[in-house]
Amino acid sequence: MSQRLRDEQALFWRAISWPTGVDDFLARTDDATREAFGRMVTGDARLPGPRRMTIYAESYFYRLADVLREQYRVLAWIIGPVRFHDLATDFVWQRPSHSPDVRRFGEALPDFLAGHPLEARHPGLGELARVERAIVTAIDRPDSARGPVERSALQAVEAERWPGLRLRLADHVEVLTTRRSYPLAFAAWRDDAPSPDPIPPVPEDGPFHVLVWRTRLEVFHRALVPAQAAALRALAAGRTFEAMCDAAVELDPSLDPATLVRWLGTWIDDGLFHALEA
Amino acid sequence: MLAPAMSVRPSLGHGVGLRLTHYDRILAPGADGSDGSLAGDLGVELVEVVTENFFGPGGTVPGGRPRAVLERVRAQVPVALHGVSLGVGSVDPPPEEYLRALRTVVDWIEPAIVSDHLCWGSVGGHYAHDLLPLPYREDAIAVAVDNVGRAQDALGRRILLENVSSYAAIGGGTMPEWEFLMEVARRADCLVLLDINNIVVNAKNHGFDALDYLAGVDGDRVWQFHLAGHTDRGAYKFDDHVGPVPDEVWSLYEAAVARFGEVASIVEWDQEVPPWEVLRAQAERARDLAAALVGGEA
Ligand SMILES: [Fe+2]
Repeated sequence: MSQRLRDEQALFWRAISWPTGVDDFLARTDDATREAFGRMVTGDARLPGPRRMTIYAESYFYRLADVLREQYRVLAWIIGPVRFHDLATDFVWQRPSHSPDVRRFGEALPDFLAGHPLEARHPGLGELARVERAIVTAIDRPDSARGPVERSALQAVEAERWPGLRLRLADHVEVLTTRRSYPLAFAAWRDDAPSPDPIPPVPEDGPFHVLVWRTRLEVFHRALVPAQAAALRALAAGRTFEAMCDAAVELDPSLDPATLVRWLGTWIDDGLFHALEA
Repeated sequence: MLAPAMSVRPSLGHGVGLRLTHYDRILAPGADGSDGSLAGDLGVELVEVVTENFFGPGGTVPGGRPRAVLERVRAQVPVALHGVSLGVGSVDPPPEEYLRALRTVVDWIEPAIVSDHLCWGSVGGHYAHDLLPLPYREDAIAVAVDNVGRAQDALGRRILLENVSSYAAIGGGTMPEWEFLMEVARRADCLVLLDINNIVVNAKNHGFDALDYLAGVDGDRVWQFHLAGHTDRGAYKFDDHVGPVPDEVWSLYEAAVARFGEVASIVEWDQEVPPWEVLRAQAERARDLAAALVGGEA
């Protein structure tokens, strides 16, 4: 293995990933590194070495910043282009990609935001990012081998078997809980609308729950009341219809069986279940 | 030596690179509800997709929309799987999990072509997601040959390596770019995806004659061309795949067809991606130009 090539690639990487640019990198580094850089990147009068390297540095940053913007469109809109650019700069520098699949690049952004000054000034952005991430990643989760379960399958279940009925959630279904109301941000977001200025504060008056799921081709998300979230979580844990009802009624004693059956019907129509065991 | 049955260049025709904006064209809402229906004939002979876009979570076959799209395309035309992260020139070999994920997609789609780039892209486990330049030296050839071998062993088939656009010559090179490319291809026994646009870009950025490049390429190994646009920024050309294929690239394409015969081609258009029909017209032009030169039927 060529040590020379290894050293060159390490130096190339340091130069393009330096957050304040190639010229600043060269200004701040030591003489030996500057000389190694000079030997590695040969330029000419038309396009000197550092300028050539800057082309790579800019491509590197803007490609990854674009990936973040695509994956966190609501977040990018809420905080506006200038703050988003700064956030992307911090993230690209501190959390470089560890995956050959560029689509995974932004997966750490929600956690990163939790420790970022932006979150301290505008609490709730990390939660918003987490919901967006769930929506983006739902699109290509593996298809279930079976299902979705149809209403007719449910109707065919005899009444005495209902308490022991188990409905299996498909892999693409996710229930998230946030402390702030995420739908405010989603409802306000429009591709062509200017970003809000200043960023509106969102009170911490949760918990709020959001259901993310998809059909074959499209991802959907919807707010859930706490009893619905509890019911879906019971099913996700593999519990029976009876246990599901108990979990929901515990949170909302006013619920009647007809309401619970109606919820189940909606979720079946949404295609949330891939198997039914009676 | 791999698969002697594949030693003759197949006739795969001319096509385009599929991008996210085309998904709706392929998945137009159909009478069969959420499953959609095939949105008519794609009208091209070959479709290229970016391999890593079809890596499912944890190296699985993806589900949902990406799966539906690629299976529909594959049902109509041969598919070229074009990777961007193999990084055959990275001193660290491609991770096993990457090769396994690649194998999963290849087994699933049974592509006509599997390709990636002659460049490097990661160091110390960090990925640049860019096609970074190699020095045209013996040590870089050895690394690339090794890594191409790993990929070809993992897949049980030959891959195509593409020449990349570059903006910097890495020091101490001892040969021209085309010699470097052909030497890697010969020693690794792999094939070549010749990007005509990248030759035009590099001719300006590094000051060589594009025809010298073609003269240095062994046509038997060239199984595919890329055609694309770029931006002239004065001091250099930038390979941004924006706009239609420029005249300069068409001219070099004609010279390449005259030299190598008809070769499968893909038009790449990545910025301000136009409607499918505009893209398709570019593929038709590639087909017609080739037909006029080699006397095949258009
Ligand atoms: Fe290309």
